[in-house]
Amino acid sequence: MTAITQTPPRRRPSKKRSRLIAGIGRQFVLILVSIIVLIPMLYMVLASFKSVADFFGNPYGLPSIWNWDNYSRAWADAHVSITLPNTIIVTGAAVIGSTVLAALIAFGLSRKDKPFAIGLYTLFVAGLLVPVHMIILPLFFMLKALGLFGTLFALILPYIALGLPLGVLILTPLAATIPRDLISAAEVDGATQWQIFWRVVLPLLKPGIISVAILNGTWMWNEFFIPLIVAFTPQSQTMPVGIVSFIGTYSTEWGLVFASVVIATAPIVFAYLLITRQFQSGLTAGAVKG
Amino acid sequence: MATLSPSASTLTRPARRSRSGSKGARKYAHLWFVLPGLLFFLAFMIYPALFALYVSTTGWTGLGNEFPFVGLDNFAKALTAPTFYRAASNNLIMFAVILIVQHTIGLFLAVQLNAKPRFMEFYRTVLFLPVIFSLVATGFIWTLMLSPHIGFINPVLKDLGLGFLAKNWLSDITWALPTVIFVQAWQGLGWAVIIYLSGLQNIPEEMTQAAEIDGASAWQTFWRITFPMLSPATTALTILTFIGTFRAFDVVYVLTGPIGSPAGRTDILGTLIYRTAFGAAGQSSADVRMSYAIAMSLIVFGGMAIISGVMIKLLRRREIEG
Amino acid sequence: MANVSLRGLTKRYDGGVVALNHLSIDVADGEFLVLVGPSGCGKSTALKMIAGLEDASEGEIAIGDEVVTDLAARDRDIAMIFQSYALYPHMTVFDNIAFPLQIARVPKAEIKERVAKVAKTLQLEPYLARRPGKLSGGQRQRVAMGRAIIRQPALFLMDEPLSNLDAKLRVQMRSEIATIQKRLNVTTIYVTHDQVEAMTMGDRVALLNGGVLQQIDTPTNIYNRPANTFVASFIGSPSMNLFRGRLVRQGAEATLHLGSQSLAVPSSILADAPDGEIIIGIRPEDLEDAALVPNHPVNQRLRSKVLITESLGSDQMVHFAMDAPMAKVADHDLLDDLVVAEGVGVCIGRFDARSTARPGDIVEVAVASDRIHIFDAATGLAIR
Ligand SMILES: Nc1ncnc2c1ncn2[C@@H]1O[C@H](COP(=O)(O)OP(=O)(O)OP(=O)(O)O)[C@@H](O)[C@H]1O
Ligand SMILES: [Mg+2]
Repeated sequence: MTAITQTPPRRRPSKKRSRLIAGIGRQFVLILVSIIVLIPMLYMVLASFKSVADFFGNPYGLPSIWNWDNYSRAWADAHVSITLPNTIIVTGAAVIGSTVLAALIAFGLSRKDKPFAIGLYTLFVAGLLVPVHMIILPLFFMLKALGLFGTLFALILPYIALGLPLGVLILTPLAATIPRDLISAAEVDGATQWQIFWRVVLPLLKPGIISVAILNGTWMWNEFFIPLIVAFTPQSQTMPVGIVSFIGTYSTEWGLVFASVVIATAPIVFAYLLITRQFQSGLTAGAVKG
Repeated sequence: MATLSPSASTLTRPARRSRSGSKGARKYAHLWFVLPGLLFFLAFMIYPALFALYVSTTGWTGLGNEFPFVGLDNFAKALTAPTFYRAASNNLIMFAVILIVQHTIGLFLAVQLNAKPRFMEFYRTVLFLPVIFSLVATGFIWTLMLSPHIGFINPVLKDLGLGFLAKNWLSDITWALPTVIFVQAWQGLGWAVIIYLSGLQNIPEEMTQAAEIDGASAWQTFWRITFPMLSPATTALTILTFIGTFRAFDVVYVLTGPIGSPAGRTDILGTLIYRTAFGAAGQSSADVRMSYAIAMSLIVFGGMAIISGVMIKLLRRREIEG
Repeated sequence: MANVSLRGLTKRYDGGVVALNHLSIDVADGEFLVLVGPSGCGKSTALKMIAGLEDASEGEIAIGDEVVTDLAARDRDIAMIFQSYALYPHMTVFDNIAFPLQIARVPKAEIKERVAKVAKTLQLEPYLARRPGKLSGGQRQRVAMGRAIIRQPALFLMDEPLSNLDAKLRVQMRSEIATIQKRLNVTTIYVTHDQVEAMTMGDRVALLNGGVLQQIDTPTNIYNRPANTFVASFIGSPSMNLFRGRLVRQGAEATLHLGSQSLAVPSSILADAPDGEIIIGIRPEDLEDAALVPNHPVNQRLRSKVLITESLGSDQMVHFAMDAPMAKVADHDLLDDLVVAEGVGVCIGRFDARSTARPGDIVEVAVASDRIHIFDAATGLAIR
């Protein structure tokens, strides 16, 4: 009988220790960077509770009194009560509109060998380069002629169009990676192109669609320049312009300013925190291979 | 043995009813999916762009209905105006600095996150957070933080006994542009991290493991295997940064105003075009001319299209070789 | 259920590749036709054209009594199994199988019933709620099968459905597919490059090479009466030994000259073969160690030096040298293995396990000369 001799695993204390040190160093760096990122945000939240006197007496400490008044004033005086729902409606409608349209385009252009596919793709993607300043005035007159001024459509319609380049840029290559056999299988199974899009392609584009929605949603929520030019009353404005025009009037009341900035920022941050989760789980499960 | 001779007779049987259109129609069927988006795009992007092209050849002020034809005057004027070059060079500085920050710090942080430290998800979420913030919010936060008297930076420096470092950050001739760039880098760093991180996660572990087994050091593995595999991420990030910095507007508008104070030190193409089109406090109304502004933005658009086209070509070539 | 007619089907891809060249085949109703051939010979192309996934450059396709050449895939009433299975990764097994019915707006209750039945046939019941990503290769294959058979189409198309399975599973699925096809009695065109599948599953086998149909016949006929040297070398493992030789007739006696050796052959197999240069084909199993068949006529033997022996347990493959030039057949990959050394022809014999032939030995090889194949030296076409 032969005894199985096993060499004991060689210990490498040096390697283990260097790994530990690297781990600590890594945590240190990441914590430091996180602080640099978070301090301005924390500062903003604290500032939103401060009175004017606090800013001078106590620039970076906690507020001496937690001044909720800033929030109620922001809600009413800065018209956040109107511009917040506006922003939600505009962003929601434009995100859905441009994501669905971009996904449709992506499916339509995903096969390079089809007529016009490359040309149209280039056309859409080139839209990324167009400075808003260049098209804002024609847009202004067009919206006026269409009688859309004063309505939220004056923002929604251009946002949908301006969201397409990014959507097409991200979704078309993704749609092209869907195995050709999968589409063929659905065709053979009797599905129309339309059914193939909704039942096969769209679900497989989900990770890309979430990214597009995050990215487009962010700029649409935050867009400042377009509403600055085409929306003049709180009834048709979104929050960023509402706040900036409000601040013009109360420029020294920083507490009030930050209360409105917090209100404008909080929803999108929450939405982001919620969707990141889903995005991550989508990534880990999202193997497109059968 | 069965016969092999292909019979010449054709089959003349009735064709089954087609529910999917003729063969020719099916060839173009994919365009139906493009059509709705294309209509939006034509109406709110192409048409305004073509209109802009027309306006740029006129002397239109932005008000009234007079469109006197002036040919390429607006373009000639823009290309000889020192303010245009000053603004463009500020954009260029902004691009260069942010690009370096993203490809060094951003990549470094992505590598740290890719090592899957504890709280990795937390860090990743936090690092991307500023991207979610509007530039208006970011602008306000930093305006106040950098404000010389109340603020955050200067008081903290003073209380730490570093009062000599305190500055009028946003109105100092030398420090205004770096400060603006810092704020923009702060906001955009999350992009670099997330793009590089997803690039890193797409590298199969076997590749780096194989290199390790072959005896490569961690450093060699990174430069010989990991970094070349990140080429697509590098390309995407470079292009995004280029487009982002040359289309920038809000950050300067909120931090240093539409005239790019102090003394135009922070003036960029975005603000220059904005105030040429719409005017700004402290500017004579004679400088306001819509058609001129549009001509400038067309030059910017053309330049960006050419440069990003060239960049994509060059970077892609590296991708294929790498 | 329907017969299928292909008439002069041709596919030219952009760039000039002719993937399929005037393919004409009639498949009878309920028939199991196997399309076989080396990699790149146009099998998948043919299948895709029949399915309507690829346009025909020339020719016509009819299913049942209808010309479908210009119809979209969804209008052709066929079911297809892809080599990659092409299961919808985001749907459960149930939804994958039910998909064709859902598309056809079959009532929910009926779908449930039919899926349950199919799942039972294919032993997929425990997996109905799973996604394809969490199934083994064999289970995925069954799901693909289920999606095809649930609809009772006019025609089944299968593109190498077993090539991703391990050997054992392949054998099992082979008979399952054949059984199911026989039971449903749906016309089936089955693509493979595995000759065992071709021989065991098909009612008839169509052999393609370079986009051209070489032969279509029953498996037995393809094996026993190959139409040309390509078919002869493609079907059978190890391949048929093919050598250039010379036929000399003297009255009723005929002799084949193979290099320096000669074999007497019964003139009955020669039919109208002309004297002179020909290609001689001998299957390995028609060769035997003469020591084991002492009664074998002396003039139907070869003498040669053994190069290699490979024991398979039941019998052994003996490679021995021949000084006759080997006949090269097209650019067919299997044959490349046969050229061992330049100038030395190698012949393979399937000897009984009792043979004591060892490398280096000189052996007497008994040739079943009534089973020899003879092909035209120039065209490679079978002569008898
Ligand atoms: N889209 C295409 N464009 C150009 N040539 C093609 C295309 N698809 C296939 N071919 C060519 O047509 C020929 C036949 O291809 P096909 O896929 O039908 O082969 P196959 O017999 O199925 O091979 P395999 O057994 O490897 O699957 C090949 O030479 C291939 O390179
Ligand atoms: Mg194939």
